[in-house]
Amino acid sequence: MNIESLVQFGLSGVTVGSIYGLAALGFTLVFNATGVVNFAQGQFVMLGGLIATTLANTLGWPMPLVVVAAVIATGVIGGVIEILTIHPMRGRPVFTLIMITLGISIVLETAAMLIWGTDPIFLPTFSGENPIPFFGATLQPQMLWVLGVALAAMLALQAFYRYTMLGQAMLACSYNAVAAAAVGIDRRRIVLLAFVFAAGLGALGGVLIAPITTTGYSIGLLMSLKGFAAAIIGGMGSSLGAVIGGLALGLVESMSTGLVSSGYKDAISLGILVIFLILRPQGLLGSK
Amino acid sequence: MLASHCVGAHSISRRRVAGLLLAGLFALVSGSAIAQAKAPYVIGAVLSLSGPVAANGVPTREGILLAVEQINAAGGIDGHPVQVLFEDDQSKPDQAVILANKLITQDRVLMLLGASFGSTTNAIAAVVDKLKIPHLSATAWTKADLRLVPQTFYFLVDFETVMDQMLGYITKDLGVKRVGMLRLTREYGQIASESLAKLKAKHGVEVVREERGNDPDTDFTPQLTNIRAAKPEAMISWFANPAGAISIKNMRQLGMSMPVLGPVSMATRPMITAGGAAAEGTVLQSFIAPDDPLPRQKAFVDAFNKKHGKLPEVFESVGFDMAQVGFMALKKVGGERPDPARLRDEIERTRYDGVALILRYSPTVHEPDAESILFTKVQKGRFVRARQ
Repeated sequence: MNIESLVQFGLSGVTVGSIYGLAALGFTLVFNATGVVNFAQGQFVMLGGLIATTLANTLGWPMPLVVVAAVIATGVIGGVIEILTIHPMRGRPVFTLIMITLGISIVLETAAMLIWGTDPIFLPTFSGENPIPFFGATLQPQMLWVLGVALAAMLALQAFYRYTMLGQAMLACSYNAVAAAAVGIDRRRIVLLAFVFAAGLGALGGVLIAPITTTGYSIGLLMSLKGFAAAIIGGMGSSLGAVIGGLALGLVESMSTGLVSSGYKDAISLGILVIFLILRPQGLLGSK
Repeated sequence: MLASHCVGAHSISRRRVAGLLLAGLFALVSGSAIAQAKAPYVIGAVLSLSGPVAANGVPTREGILLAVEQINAAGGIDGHPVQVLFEDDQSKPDQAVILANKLITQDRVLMLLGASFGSTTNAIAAVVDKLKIPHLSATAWTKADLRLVPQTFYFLVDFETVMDQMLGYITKDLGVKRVGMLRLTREYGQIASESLAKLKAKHGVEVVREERGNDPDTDFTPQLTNIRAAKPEAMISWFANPAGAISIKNMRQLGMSMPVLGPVSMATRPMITAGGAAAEGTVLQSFIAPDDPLPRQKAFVDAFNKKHGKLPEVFESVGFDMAQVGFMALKKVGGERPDPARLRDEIERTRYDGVALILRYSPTVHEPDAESILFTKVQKGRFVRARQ
């Protein structure tokens, strides 16, 4: 095994991993606000990518506008879903809400199949396809976009938590919902916002990765699984953990494909999820 | 009182008249229907219209639909209109079994078309073997490990023959020997791999590295990195689309610029739409170059283009041929409800130069002639003939 190959596995892993990280951040947001694991999270990744293909391929919008519009549109869909399904069921057991998100996930997938059909769809790359040499490996320009934009989104989210009233209110809700309500934080609004943000982050991942991997109505479930695994590995509830968990999962997948066999890829990555759930349910960064 | 009674009587009689008129009309319509059209011949079709193999199943359906539309416009088969009941197995063998059973026992179809890949076809073959219904499949027979079910007829050329011709293309047309292979882990790729191992000595080909991937995978960079390090002069990518298109995109992104060959399930639309510029130059085993059809293919290409406003591709033409073979057997056997056993025997005698396939079925041959194979090349976003 030469060093170039290892660098290539690493690049591939980090790229896919940052998409898992964005999905995991979405899980974290909703989990912190509601205690619910939102299994429709992967469908937001799917929706973001598919909406972007329509805007770019059919309507011919410029790429920056496509990204922003797809993220906002999916965010709005996330908000509407919260208003229609999660809000009316507030106060019910968490398990009921999780089942609702599973139902939403199936509805979204079927709707996407009827709207966009079953063919996989590509999105044009943001800036050309000429590979860039990188320590003997090759780097696609789109990988840089994925890494850069994902990093920027994660930093923006941290800044939002730290420097805005609303962000601090969201954090407060996640630490202690009752105490947050006691000091006058409107939990209703926070939950809605969490869904909008989670949908938007998922969509951003979907738009970034579509030029590399294609997108289609059926990618949501796998994205939910991988995002969930990343969130667990990183520590459910921790934003930084979500990012680290996503990158770790992406790296494990590409290394196991390259060094062992692709047949074991999902077995290894989801096996790690099981091990974490049993031995360290609080994840890498979580505390008991 | 009297006036109101009169009004009532009047309205009742009007209702009666209307009722009589309706009854008369109904009798007239149904009477004429009986006079003109006989009971339809009902055929069942189980295809993968969603899931990872939908890129094969959806166009197969379009080809079948065109054939049905044409034959019904021409008055059906001896006055019997043809009706095809489509079912979607979602690319899952267990669904294919349920749907095949349903079509045969509940809908009492005369024959079954379909399944879009090996596992679903084998699942259906087991059902038709028991219930004795003829079965036409848009897949290839894997000679090595399958008993030939007397009911099942195949519409793709078996993989070993395809691999033999591919290696001929690599050594003669391209003039190279060092071959790398990226293939599906499941059966479809497994058989291709075994065929390659068996035939490499015959063609003097060296397989420098073989790697595997799965249908839903969207990134083959790690596997291709390993293959790249072995420096192949030509690549065989053995997938169904979209994975096939993605594999080629990944190769180009890794700076692997050697020629790539792929099987018929990569000669479908996503190769162009998803592969984009990376797909240019890819050589694919097919049966038809829609832009440049053979004389026997022209009428079909024109009719399809007229109906859909686009050119048909390989699985559209395979679906069309499947339907034609079924129709020919139905025509020969005839009657109110053609006997499925006699339909099977007729299909086994098929001699047909179809759109995609040249068929010379016999009790031992249930697959198309190897002569049907045509290599196509992606050029400016279209499939053209690779050899002139």
